Amino acid sequence: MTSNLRLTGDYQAGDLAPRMKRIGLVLAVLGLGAGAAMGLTGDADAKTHFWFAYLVAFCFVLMIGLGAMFFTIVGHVVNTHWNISLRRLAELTMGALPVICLFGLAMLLPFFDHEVDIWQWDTINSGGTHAVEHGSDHGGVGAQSLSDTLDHAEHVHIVEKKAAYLNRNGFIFRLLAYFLIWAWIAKFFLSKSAAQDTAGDSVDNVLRMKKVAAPMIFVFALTISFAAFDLIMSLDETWFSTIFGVYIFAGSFLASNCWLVIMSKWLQARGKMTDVINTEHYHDLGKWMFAFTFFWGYIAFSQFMLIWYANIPEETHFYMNRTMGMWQNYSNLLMIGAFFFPFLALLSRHVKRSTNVLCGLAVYVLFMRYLDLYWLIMPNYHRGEIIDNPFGLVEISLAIGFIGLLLFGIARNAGKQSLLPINDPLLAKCLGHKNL
Amino acid sequence: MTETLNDNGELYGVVAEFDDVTTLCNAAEKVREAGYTKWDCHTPFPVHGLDDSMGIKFTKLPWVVLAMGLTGCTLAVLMQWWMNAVDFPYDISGKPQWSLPANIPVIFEMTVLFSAFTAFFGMWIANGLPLWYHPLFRNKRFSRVTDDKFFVAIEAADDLFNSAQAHDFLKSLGASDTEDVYHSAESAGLPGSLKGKLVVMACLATIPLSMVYNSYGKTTTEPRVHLVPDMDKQDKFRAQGQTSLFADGRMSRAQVEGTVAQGDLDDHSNNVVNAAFIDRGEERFNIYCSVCHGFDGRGDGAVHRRATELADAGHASWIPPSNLILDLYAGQSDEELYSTITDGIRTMPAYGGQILEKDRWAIIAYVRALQMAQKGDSVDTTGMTSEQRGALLFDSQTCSTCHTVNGARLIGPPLNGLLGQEITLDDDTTLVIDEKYILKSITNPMAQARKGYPKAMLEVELTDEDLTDLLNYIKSQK
Amino acid sequence: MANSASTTHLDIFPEDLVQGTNDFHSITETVCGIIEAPKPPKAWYIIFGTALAMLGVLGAMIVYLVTTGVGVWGNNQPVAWGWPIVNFVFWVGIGHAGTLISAVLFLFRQDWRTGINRFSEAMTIFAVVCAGMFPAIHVGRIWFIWWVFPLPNQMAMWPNFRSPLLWDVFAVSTYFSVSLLFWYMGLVPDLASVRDRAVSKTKRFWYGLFSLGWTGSNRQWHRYERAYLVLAALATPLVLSVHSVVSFDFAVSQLAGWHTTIFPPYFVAGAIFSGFAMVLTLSIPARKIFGLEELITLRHIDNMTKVIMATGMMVGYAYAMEFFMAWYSGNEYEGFTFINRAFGPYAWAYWIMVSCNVLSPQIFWFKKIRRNLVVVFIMSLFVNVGMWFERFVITVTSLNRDFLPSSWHYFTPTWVDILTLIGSFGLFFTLFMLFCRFLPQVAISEVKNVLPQAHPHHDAH
Repeated sequence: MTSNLRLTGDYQAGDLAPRMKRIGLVLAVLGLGAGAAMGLTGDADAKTHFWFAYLVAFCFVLMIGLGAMFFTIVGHVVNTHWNISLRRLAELTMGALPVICLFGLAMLLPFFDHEVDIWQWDTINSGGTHAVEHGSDHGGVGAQSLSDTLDHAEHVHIVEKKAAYLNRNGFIFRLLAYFLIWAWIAKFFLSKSAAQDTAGDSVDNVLRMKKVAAPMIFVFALTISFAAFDLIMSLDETWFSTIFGVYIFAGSFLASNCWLVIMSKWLQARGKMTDVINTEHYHDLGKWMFAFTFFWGYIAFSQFMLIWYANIPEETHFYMNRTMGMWQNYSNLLMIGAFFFPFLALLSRHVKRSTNVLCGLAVYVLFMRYLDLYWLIMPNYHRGEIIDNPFGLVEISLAIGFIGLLLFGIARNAGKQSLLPINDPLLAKCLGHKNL
Repeated sequence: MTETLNDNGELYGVVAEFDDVTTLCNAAEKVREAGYTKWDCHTPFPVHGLDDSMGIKFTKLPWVVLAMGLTGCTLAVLMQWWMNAVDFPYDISGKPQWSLPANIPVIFEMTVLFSAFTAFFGMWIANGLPLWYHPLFRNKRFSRVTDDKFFVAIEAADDLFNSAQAHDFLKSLGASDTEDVYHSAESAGLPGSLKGKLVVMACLATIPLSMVYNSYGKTTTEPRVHLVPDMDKQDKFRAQGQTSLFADGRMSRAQVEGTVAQGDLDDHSNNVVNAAFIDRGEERFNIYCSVCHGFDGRGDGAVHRRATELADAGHASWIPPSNLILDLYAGQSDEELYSTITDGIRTMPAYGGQILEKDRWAIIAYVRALQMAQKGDSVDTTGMTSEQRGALLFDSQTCSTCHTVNGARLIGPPLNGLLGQEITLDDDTTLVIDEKYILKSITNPMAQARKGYPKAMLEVELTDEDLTDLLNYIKSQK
Repeated sequence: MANSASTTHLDIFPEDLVQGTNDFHSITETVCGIIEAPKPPKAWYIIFGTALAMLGVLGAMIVYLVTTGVGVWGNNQPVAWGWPIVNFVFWVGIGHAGTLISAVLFLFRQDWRTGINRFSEAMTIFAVVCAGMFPAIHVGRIWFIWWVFPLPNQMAMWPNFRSPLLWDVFAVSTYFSVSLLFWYMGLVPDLASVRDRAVSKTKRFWYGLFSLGWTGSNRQWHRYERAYLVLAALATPLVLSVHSVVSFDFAVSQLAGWHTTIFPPYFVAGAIFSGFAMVLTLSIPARKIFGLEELITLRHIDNMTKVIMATGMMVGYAYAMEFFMAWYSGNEYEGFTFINRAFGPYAWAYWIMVSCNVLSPQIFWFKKIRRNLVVVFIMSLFVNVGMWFERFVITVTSLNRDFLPSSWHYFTPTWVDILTLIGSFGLFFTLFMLFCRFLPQVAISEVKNVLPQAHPHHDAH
C-alpha cells in the first residue's frame, strides 16, 4: 500500500522552524512584557485585572494544546485513517504544552501577593476576609446585594468545608501533576511518532501508541476536568457544576480543530504538505468544527438550562453575575457569535470545502473560544459589581504573548522530524478517502 | 418478474446487463458521452463514483430540508408563545408567561421533526416513488437488479434512441446481455374497483373525525361515560346517609361515650373581635377567598370573570360563586359560614386544610364587616309588581346559582313552565306540580326532591310576602 | 505491504467485514433465505412462544392497572416516582443504540455498522414502543393521555410547554417517528430484494407494496443517499436531545441527587452503553440461530465491546464527578444523598450498579475476552442489569429519604410492578421475533457495499 504511494511534496519544516521559533519568542517577550508593564506596575486593582487576563490567555493556548492531545489520542483509539496526514501537526501542537505550562505556573504568584486576590478561597482560608468584603464594601449596591445569594457567614462556612481540596499546597501539587502528566503524554506520542519516520517497520510504533492511547484517554479526561475545576471553577469559590469538565473539553477540541485548519493552511501557503492535506481533510476538520460547535452549545445550554430552571442560590449567582450590566452583552455575544453564527455558517458543505472560507471561520471561532474563557474568568474581577468593560490592551498583549509561546513551543520541535508521518501504515488510506 | 410478454404495448427502451461495477462505470461514462439524456443505471447498491460517471447533478434536497427545518422552528416558537402566553396564559408563581429557555427543547424537536419528514418524503417525491408499476419489472433478468447484476437502461423516449443501435452500442461497452423492454398493454394504474373502495374508505374515515369536531367545546347534560368507574363511584358512608349495616340504620355513628376534645379545638367565643383580628381576616380573605368571591365579597373574583368568559364562549360550564353580601348569607350563623369554609360547599373546595382555625373565624369576622359596610345599597321596591319583586328575590337569594328560567339545567332543574308539569320524585312516585309543591320546595326542599338532581338545595327562610312574590315570579316564567 | 493477516496487525488493519467466500449473490441468499425458509428454526418458536406468554402477562397487568388504579403499584410518598419511570428510562436508553449505530457511526464512516444497523434500528423502535408504554399507562386514565398533545380539548386548555414532562412527549415521539423513517428508508431496497425473489403472490404483493416500486435506479440512489445522510445528520443531535430531555425530567428539579448539571451528557452516554449491550444480547444468539456469522463477525462484536467499555467509563466518570461535586459543593443535602446512595438502605443497588457498569466492562481490555462470545454475552447481560439499576438508584435513592425524616420510607415494588417489567420484555421480544422472521435482518445493500468488488477500479493510481 504505502509502497505504491508516490510522496513528492515537501514535508520538512526546514528553515521555517527556526524562523517561527524566533518570531514566537519575539511575540512572547513583547506580549508578556507589555502586559506585565501595563498590569503589574499599577495599583492592586490593576494587578488583579492583570492576573485574570493572564489566566484567560494561558487557558486559551492551553486548550488548543489539550485539544490537539485529544485529537492525537482518540485517533489511535478508534483506529481512524483520515487524520493521519494531520496527526503530526497535532502532535507538534501538543508538544508546545511544556512551554505553555511553564508559564502557567506564574498563576501561583498571586498566592504571594497580598494585594491581589485571584484565588479568593485562599484568601478566605488564610483568615483574610477581604475577598468577601471586596464585594460588600465597594461601591454602594455591592456584590452581596446584587448577585451573591449567600450571606457572608454562609459563604465563609462553605469555603471552609472545601478546604481539604481548595488549599494552597494541594493546589500547587495538583497543578504540577497535571502539567507533568501532559508533558509526558505529549513527549511520548511525539517521540514514538517521530520514530516511525526512521523505523523500517512502522507498525510496531503504531501498535505501541495504540496500547498507550486507550488508558491515556481516561487520564486525559480526569486531568482536564480537574484542571478546569482548579483553574477556572474555583475562581468562584462557592459555585459548582458537574458538567464543567465536559464544557472545557468541548471548547478545547473545537479550538484545536480550528488551529489545525489554520496551521495547515499556513503551511500550504508556504509550499509544505500541499499534496497530502486536500479538500477532504479540510472538509473533515470543518465537520468537527461544526460538530463541536454544536456539542459546545449543547453542553453550555444544558448547564444554563438546569441552573436557570432550578434557580437555587448556590448555583444561580454564576449566571446572575454574567447577565448583569455589561456582562449581559458578552453572554449575548457568545450565544450568537459562538453558537448560532458558526453553526449556521458551517452547516453548508460548500463552506466546509472552500478552504479559504473555512480558514477564516477557524480564526473567528478561535477568537470566540477566547471570548468564552474571558466570559468564564473575567466576571470574577469585581465579582457581582456593575463595572465598565475591562477588556483592553492588557488582554490583547497577553493573548499575543501566549500565542507567541505556542508558536515557539511548536517550532521548537518542528524541525526535528518530518511534518507528515510518512511511514504510517494508514497513510495511503488517508490520502484516498472521500467524503460522501 | 412476469414473463407474459404477449401483452406487450409500446417499446419502453433497451436494457443492458453488466456483471461488475467497473464495466458499468465505464459504460455509464460512454453512454453519457454519446449524448443520451433519458437513461439510467440500476444497481443493487449505491455504486460510488457512478454519480460522476453519469454526470448526475447534486440534489437540491438538503436546501429544502433546511427551509422546512426553519419552518418547524418558527412554528414551534409561535405555537408555544400563542398557547402559553396568549390564548391560555399560565401564571405559575408569578413567573413570566413567556421565557424562551424553557421552550427550547420543543423548538429543537419540532425543527428536527419537520426536517426529517421533509428529507424522507421529499426524497420519495423527488424520486417519483412510490410507483405501482414499472416496465422494467416485466423483464425477467431485471429481477436480479436487487441481487447481484447491474443494468443500464436507455429509454425509447430519448431523442437519439434507435433500438438496433442501442443494442450494439451497449454490447460494445461490455454488456453481457441486452434486451428490449415493452410497456404493458394494459393500463398501468390502479384497478378501478380498488379506487372506488379507497374513496369509500376515505369517506368513512372522516365520520369519527367529524363526530369529534361536532362535540368539541360543547356542554352536555348526559352523564359522563364511566369507562372505568374507579374514582367516580366509590362505596362509602356519607354523613346522614342510611345503611342496613347498623341497627339504627344511620351511617353516621355517635361519638363513643367519654370522648374528649383534643388539640386546639377551642371555643371560638374566646376570639376577641377587634381591628387587628379583622385585619387578619381581611388578609386571609384576600389570599384565599377573593380569587372567587372578589375583594368586596360580591362574587366577581378573577377566577369567576375568566371562567364566565370561557363559559360564554362555550368552552366550559361554570357555577358562579356566591355573593356574600346577600341577606341569605348575612342571615347565616357564624357556625354555618365556618362549616362552609372548612368543608366546602357545592363546587367550592374545603379550605379546612389550608386556613388555620383561628383564621377562619377571622375571615368570618371580616365577611361580617363587608356585609355591614355594603348593606346600604338595598333596592327600593315601592311601586313594583309582585313578579318584579320576585325576580329580584330570585337573583338576590341565589336561586340563580342553581336554577335557570330558560330551560337550561345547572345544578337544579330549570324553573320555567313548572305548573302542570309531571315529574318523578326520588321515591319513584310521580306528581303534577302545583303551587303548593313549589312553595314546599322552597321552604323544605328535600321533602319531595326530584329524581335525577343532587340533593344540594338549602332551606330558604323567607317572609310570607317574599314567598308569594317569588312564587308569582316562577309562575310567570313559561 | 502491511496487509498480511498477522494477528497483531488486526488493530491497524482489521479483518474483512464480510467473512468467508461471499459475493453479492450469497449475501442476498443468506439474508433473504431466512425469510424464505418455510419454517423458522426451532429456537425461534421457543423464544417467540415465551415472549408471547410474557406479552399476555403484560396485557393482564395493564388491564388490572387501568381498571383498579395506579395504587396497585408500589409508588407512594415519598417515592412517588417508582418503577414506571425506571422502566421508561431503561427502555428509552436501550432505544438509543440503534440510531447511534445508524446515524453517528455512519457520519464517522465506521463502516462496520452495516452488519448490525438493521438489527439495532429495529431494536430501537421496539424499545421505544416499550418505553412509551410506561408514561402512557402511568396516567391512570389512559383515555385522557391525548391531553399531553397540543390538541384542543373541552377544557380549552393547552399543555404547559415549560414542563419537562411535556418536553419528553415531544422528544420521545419525535425520536420514534424519525427512527421509524430511518429504519424504513433503509429497508426499502432490501424489501425490493425480497420482492424480486418472492415466489408466492401474497409475498410479492406485500413486499412489493412496501418496497414502493424501487428499481435501484442510480438517479434515485443519489437522492436516497443524500436523504440518508441528512437523516443521519438530523438523528445524531436527536439522539443527544432525547436522553438529555429525559434527564431534564430529573435535573430541572431542586432535589439533591437529581439536580446536577452533568445529567444530560451522562444520560446520553448511559443510553448508548445500555443500547450497545442490548445489541450484543440480541445479536450473539441471532447470528448463530439464523446463520449470520459471516456478516456479523467477531470484528463487529469486538468493536461493540470497545464502545461498551468507552461509554462505561464515561458513565463511571459521571458517577465520580457527581460524588466529588456532592462533597465539593459544601451542600449538606447533596452530600447526604450520595452517602445515602452508597451506604444507605439501597447500598446493594448502588454497588450492583457500579460493579455492573464500571467494573465489569474493564475485562474488555483483553482482546481474547472481547472475542469470546460466551463471556461477551454474559457481560452484556450484566450491563443491562446494571443500567436498569442505575435508573433505579437515581430515582429511588434520591426520594426515599427526603427532607422530612419522619416520612422516610423504604420502597418495595409490588407484584404488579415486577410482572409489568417482565411483560414489557415480552412485548419487546415478540416484536423482535416477528422482525427476525419477516424482514431482512441485515442491511443487504449496505453490506454489499463493503465488499471489495463493490468499488470500481480506476487506473488512476
